[in-house]
Amino acid sequence: MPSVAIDRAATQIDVVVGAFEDDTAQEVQGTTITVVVPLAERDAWLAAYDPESTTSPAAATGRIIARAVLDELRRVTGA
Amino acid sequence: MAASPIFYPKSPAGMGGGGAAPAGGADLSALGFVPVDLTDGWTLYDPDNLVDTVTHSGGVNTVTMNGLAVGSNDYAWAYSATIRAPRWYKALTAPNASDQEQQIVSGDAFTLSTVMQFQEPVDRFATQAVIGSAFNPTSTASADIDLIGGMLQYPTSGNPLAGAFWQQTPSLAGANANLDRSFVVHNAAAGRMGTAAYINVDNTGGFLASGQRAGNASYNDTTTNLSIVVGLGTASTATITAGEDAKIKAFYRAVRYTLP
Repeated sequence: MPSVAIDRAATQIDVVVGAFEDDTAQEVQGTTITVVVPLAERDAWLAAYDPESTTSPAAATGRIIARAVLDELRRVTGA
Repeated sequence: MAASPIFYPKSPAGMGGGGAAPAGGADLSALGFVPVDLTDGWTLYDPDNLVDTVTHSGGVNTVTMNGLAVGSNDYAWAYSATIRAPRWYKALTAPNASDQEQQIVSGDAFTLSTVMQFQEPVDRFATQAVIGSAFNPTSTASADIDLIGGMLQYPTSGNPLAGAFWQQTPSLAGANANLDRSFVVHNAAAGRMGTAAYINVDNTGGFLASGQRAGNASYNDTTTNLSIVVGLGTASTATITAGEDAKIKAFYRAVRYTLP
């Protein structure tokens, strides 16, 4: 399974940023969490995801990123 | 503690550049800022005539607006690739050891420090104001303007927020009733825009928040004369009623380096 890292020093708890989705910009207030994909595992991550498949990535694979992000969110919020 | 006194150093002797003898001397342990007076030496670019009048008193620029009946992100500084918001500009320079202003170009190694200080308007509209360096101040394309620096934003009622800005993307600390000044520094070298980093303080100089916005691109070339720009626009798609105003109190300091 590939892994990711969280750059904890880059986490900002209360920040207003421009979010971009489908070229539509909007203002979002929230917490920024920086996910680092190790260079050595980049190809493994890309291979694990098929954008044409609605069931991709596999739950266990996607959970790796989700848990890393949510662990960091718990850490900075004290949840 | 009140805001630090502002002064304009006579010359940057000792900054480098060949070991020029001190000539009256900037004190690099207490370097001051250039206050922005939009009525003195700045050129206004206002493609849709949103600015009615500008006055300056006591370090505060009061900008009274014409009406904007239909709001658009194009009149904000953030969130649109098209920026038609008014802006004032002049050459981005740094004084040499003889107090002669030297033009900074897009390939230079330099830093620009800015301070924006929140001032309560008489009759608010939802405002975004920016100050920073720019590649093409009279463009309406954010990736051609290439503005990087600081941003101050506030709604029609409620608390202001401030932070760093690049092209069309801000990174601002959350709104804070105690926000007084936002100190932003960005660097550039080799034709590349660096990161703009901010520290926000209250009116005692106490820390409120910090963060950054990466200037994640290069200039179109390394030979273009850069500008210092002060921009005023709406927050998102806000409208403006004729006669509403914004107050801009801002400062900057550019320093050019000779890289070792």
